[in-house]
Amino acid sequence: MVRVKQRYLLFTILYPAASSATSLPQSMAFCQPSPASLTRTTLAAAIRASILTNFGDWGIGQAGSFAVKYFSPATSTGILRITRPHYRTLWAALTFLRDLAGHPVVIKVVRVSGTIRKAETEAVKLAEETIRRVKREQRAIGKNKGAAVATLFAGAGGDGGQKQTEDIIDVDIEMDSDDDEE
Amino acid sequence: MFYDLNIPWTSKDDPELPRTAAFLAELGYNVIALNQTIAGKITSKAPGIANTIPENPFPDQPGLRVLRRATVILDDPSQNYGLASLSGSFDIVALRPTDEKLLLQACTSLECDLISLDLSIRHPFHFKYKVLGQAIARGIRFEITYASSINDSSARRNLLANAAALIRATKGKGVIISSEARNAAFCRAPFDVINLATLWGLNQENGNAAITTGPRSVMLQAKMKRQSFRGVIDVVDGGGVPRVSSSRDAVTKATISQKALGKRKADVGDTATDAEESTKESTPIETAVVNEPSHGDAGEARPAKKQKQKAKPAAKKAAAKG
Repeated sequence: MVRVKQRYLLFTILYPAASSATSLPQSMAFCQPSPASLTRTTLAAAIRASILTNFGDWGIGQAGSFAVKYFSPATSTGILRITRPHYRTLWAALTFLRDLAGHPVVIKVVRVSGTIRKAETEAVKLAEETIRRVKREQRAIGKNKGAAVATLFAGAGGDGGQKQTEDIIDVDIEMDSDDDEE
Repeated sequence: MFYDLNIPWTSKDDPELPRTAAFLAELGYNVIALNQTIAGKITSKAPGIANTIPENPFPDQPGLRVLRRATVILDDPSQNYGLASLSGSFDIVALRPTDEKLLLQACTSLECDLISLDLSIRHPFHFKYKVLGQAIARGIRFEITYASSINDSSARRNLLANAAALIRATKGKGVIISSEARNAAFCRAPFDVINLATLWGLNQENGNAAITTGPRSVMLQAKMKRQSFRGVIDVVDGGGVPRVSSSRDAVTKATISQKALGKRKADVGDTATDAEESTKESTPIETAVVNEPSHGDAGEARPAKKQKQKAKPAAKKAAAKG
């Protein structure tokens, strides 16, 4: 019996029109937390709508069976799962997506992977790199490092940075168990 | 290195432009070109035409290289466009022909680096390899811009059809992809663009080339045309020996010679006469090393054949040195 081959797309949502007047550091101007109204289900609905407008019924039939395996509003990062032959269709639908929850967005696919584990490690690496970048910038300016990182996550549902990281870890564990079941 | 060779230039005070540049840097682009569109006739007496784009418009983005590009809209075949006068003041000169005749003219005779067709509208003619191939043979690339297709549904349809036709006619080579984004929201990340290109019929490899090596060759070719001797020879460095590095070289040479002598210590004991002859003309440091008695003794205590064999070329070298 041949296994069903999947592709996991790790994406980040960038906010190109975000106002730079907020307390965020300059290097994070476009990587903002997502609004609270954007959840896994609303995201899936938006992507499905994009597939429908760009690829029609045929596209929905081919690539409509994707799953949002993980979405973190704090880092605006997520993982999608799709059967292997159709990942380019889904990717193009993501590229043609213009707004989410009333905000103009640009979705950047960071990594295409055959296993969810690799996508996860890449997500963690991405978050670490972001934090490092902010710290570096703050050091250059001469500000307190911890405060800068805390402001990063302040926008997402009013939670503090620590709480959010815990959330992310929780979801990761959840995801692992999910994968094992399959 | 990722290139986006088409960002429309508006004005110095436009707040959208620095934001777009910052966003492109965030997406992973290394080189962008600010594009100034020129319609109508260009007279040779237009020295101030490039000065609208400053040399370094985005000081906040140190990692982003900014080029200056001019796109001339061709709409009259009988008109003489003074393209030669443009290439002096812009990094890249592109043409946008509006009909088949002008496209032929641009492909065969006009002096330019890039042909940028407007692919968001329907053209009443087909792209033929016979015409486009001539341009590719001259090293001129064709540009596909994707920003309008993200914004507008009908533009997206036309772009899909036109890009597929263009890629078919050029056989996937000689195509570059850029954004022409008037707003940061219309830019897309390099790998997303490559994925779009696969949708139009380019394969992954050619799609990658369309955003990396293709634009790079356009940039370099334009540079060669502008400042080299007959497009063949470019003097990068006038020559001469830089002072600091030469002194450093001398230091390293000295240390190497000392080391070599140190290794030869045992041999020196065997061929004492040769060594002494050579040391007469050598530096005081070298003589000091040679005269160390303990090493010489150690060498004599073990008169192995191998060492003697080694000693011969060493002695020859020493003699040659002297």
